[in-house]
Amino acid sequence: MKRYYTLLFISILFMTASRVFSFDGIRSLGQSVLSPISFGLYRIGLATSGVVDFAVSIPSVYQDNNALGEKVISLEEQLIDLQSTKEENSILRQQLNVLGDRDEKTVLASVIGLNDQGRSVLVVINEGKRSGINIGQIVVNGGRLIGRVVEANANNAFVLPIFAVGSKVPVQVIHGEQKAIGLIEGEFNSKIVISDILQESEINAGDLVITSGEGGVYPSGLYVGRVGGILSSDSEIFKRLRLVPSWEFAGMHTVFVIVD
Amino acid sequence: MANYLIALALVLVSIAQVAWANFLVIGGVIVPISVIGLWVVTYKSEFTNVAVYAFLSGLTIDILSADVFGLRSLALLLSVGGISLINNRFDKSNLLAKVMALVVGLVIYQLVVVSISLILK
Repeated sequence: MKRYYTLLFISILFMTASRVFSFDGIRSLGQSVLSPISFGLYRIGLATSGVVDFAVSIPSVYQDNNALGEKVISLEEQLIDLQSTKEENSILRQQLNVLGDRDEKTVLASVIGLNDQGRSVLVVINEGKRSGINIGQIVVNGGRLIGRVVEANANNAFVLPIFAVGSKVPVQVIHGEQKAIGLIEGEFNSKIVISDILQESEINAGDLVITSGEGGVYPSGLYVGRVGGILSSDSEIFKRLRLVPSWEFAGMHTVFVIVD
Repeated sequence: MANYLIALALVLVSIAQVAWANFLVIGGVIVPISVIGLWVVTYKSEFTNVAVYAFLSGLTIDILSADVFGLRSLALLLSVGGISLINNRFDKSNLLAKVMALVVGLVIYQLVVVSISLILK
């Protein structure tokens, strides 16, 4: 029992000391040993989840095949409309003047896991201060917003993804020529909602959502996703919307950190 | 030798908890598999050994996380303390008591991590 209380005391001592010392040296040393194991386990997890998903889906493969056949026909029809959509997209880009090619210095990093932070989760990447990554920098993948660096060590960094609890990003929802300002927030570390949208704003499912740049934390014009549906009722002052993000975490292996 | 192997296995479970966090989310909460690992070990090892395992597991997570250093060690130590308290009060072969001990351990861990994170940040 004495050993238990001693270990409790050491833990509390560490916590108290971490208010003064950053423990960066110990963490760096430990991470250089543990990160490869963590990375390996993460990859195994990704591969295993794929196999498990496939095994579970076997009974529905026949139905899926039929559904896919119908989808192919539907897609062929949609292809005909593609040309006009492309032209419309080009016009929208010109109107927004924000989604064009960005000229920023970026650092390529691999995702090596997720870090449980109690309420929220952080994405762990394998590049840190040594590569020029610092707190506050924005993380993207092909012009799509992933999140923001909230902690950086020498060899790795922690990113608060947009789906995490505590993540708040000012955005604008593009509906035709109209733009509505709102805020996206992570819910339950898995869903994203768009809040603070004025009730009179006209918004439909499928509308484009990009960062507004308000507040100066996130640059404007980063693609966030599309409106998935409206969650609030007409009687509420502000609209709440469901966001369908532009990316899926499970399939993400690499990200870019904007260091410029 | 067995003690070292158990410690090594629990350290691996702790690394897995960090690496597999996105596959372990149930109801918006990441299931701390290190607590489950320690809960299993409480039925095989002495409490003083389990405390050391909890401390090592916690340190492993502390090193891999961006949290306050020592928080996970404290949370796991308090968690195994709670589990052992239940185990001492009830017959170890009682299935209900085993389940209750696990639930208590998980709740203590989450409470400590969430509350101290909120207080210190």
